Amino acid sequence: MKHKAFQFVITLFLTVFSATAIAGTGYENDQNKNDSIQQNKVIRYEVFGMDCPGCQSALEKQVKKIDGVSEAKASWQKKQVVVTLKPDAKVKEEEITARIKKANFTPGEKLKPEEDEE
Amino acid sequence: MKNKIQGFLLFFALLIFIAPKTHAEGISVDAGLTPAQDRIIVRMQYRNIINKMGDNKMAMHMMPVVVAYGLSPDITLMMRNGYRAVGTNETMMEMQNSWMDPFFMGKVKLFRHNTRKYVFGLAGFAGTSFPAWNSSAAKTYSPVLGVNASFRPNYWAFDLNSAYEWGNYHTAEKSSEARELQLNLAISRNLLIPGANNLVFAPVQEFSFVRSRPQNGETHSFGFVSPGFQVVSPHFKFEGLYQIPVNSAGTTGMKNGGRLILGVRFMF
Repeated sequence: MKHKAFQFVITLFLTVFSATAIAGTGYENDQNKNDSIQQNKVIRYEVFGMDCPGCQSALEKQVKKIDGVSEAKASWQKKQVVVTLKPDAKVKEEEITARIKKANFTPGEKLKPEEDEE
Repeated sequence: MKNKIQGFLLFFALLIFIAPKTHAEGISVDAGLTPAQDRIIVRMQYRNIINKMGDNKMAMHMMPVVVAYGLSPDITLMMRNGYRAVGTNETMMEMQNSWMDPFFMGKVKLFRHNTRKYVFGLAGFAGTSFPAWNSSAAKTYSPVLGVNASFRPNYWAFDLNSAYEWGNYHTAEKSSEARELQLNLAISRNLLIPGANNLVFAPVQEFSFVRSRPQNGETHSFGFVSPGFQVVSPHFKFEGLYQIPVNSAGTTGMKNGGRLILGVRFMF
């Protein structure tokens, strides 16, 4: 009887411990995800000079060459480019504007990222 | 970057290598401003050209290939070559299937103003065809100088190309067989395709004017009115044009007929 009670306590302890550990890991994962989103900084620029979809790909190609940029999405209709930086990347704004100029376009104002980009 | 330059040079060398059997052939100059740095554009075309001499017809199929590279935002290098196949030839003129002489061109940005409402720019260009080794029939150069002007307000595009060409210039005689002034105006408007974010359909209307001054013969002018279209995506462009001749009777008795141009452009 004493032995069975001991087994029950141990099983209960392990179950609670495991459940807590799993829940904790999940929480930690969520925390990492949030950190990662925060680190993936998004910058949005107004760009003048694009007049067709072909211009978009020319600009994206230039901006993606910057060390620390993970993604660049340009829109000739919206006249802007959205630049996503890698976690912990330090990219000077001058580097981005220089690349926009190398694509033969003119950088305009730096815009606020849209809500779903933050 | 280094690999891309090497790749471009290799492709360039390949085109030069395949050019030994060329004859002199007029090659029109591309309109437009200088593209982005490191931009590689490959354009392949099929041209169906019909000329007439009296009731006799001559049909040719030309397949020019253009490779352009943005050396910097201000300088573009361009090379063309192609193959000409003679379909029907009911005229007395002798015409053979052949490679065209390779054509090299450099384009320089002179001015470009990008605004929220429009883009306006000017680019100058200079180029020439080269007689390729011993197989070139004409053994001549055809140097060309010109200016491209581009005005693009919102979804509209107005591209004016003006060029002056010394056709078949003999270096020994220091004279060309004909001098030509070429003007080309292309007007187009981008139309958005519903449901296709990155795809544009653009009807195009081109007007071409050529004033030719042959060394032996009278100066004459002719032109084309050319409706067409373009479908543009970020890395691909498909274009079609039909050139309708205007005042096509030249001094040689050969008249220009209609010309169909179909092309595809890849942009890397």
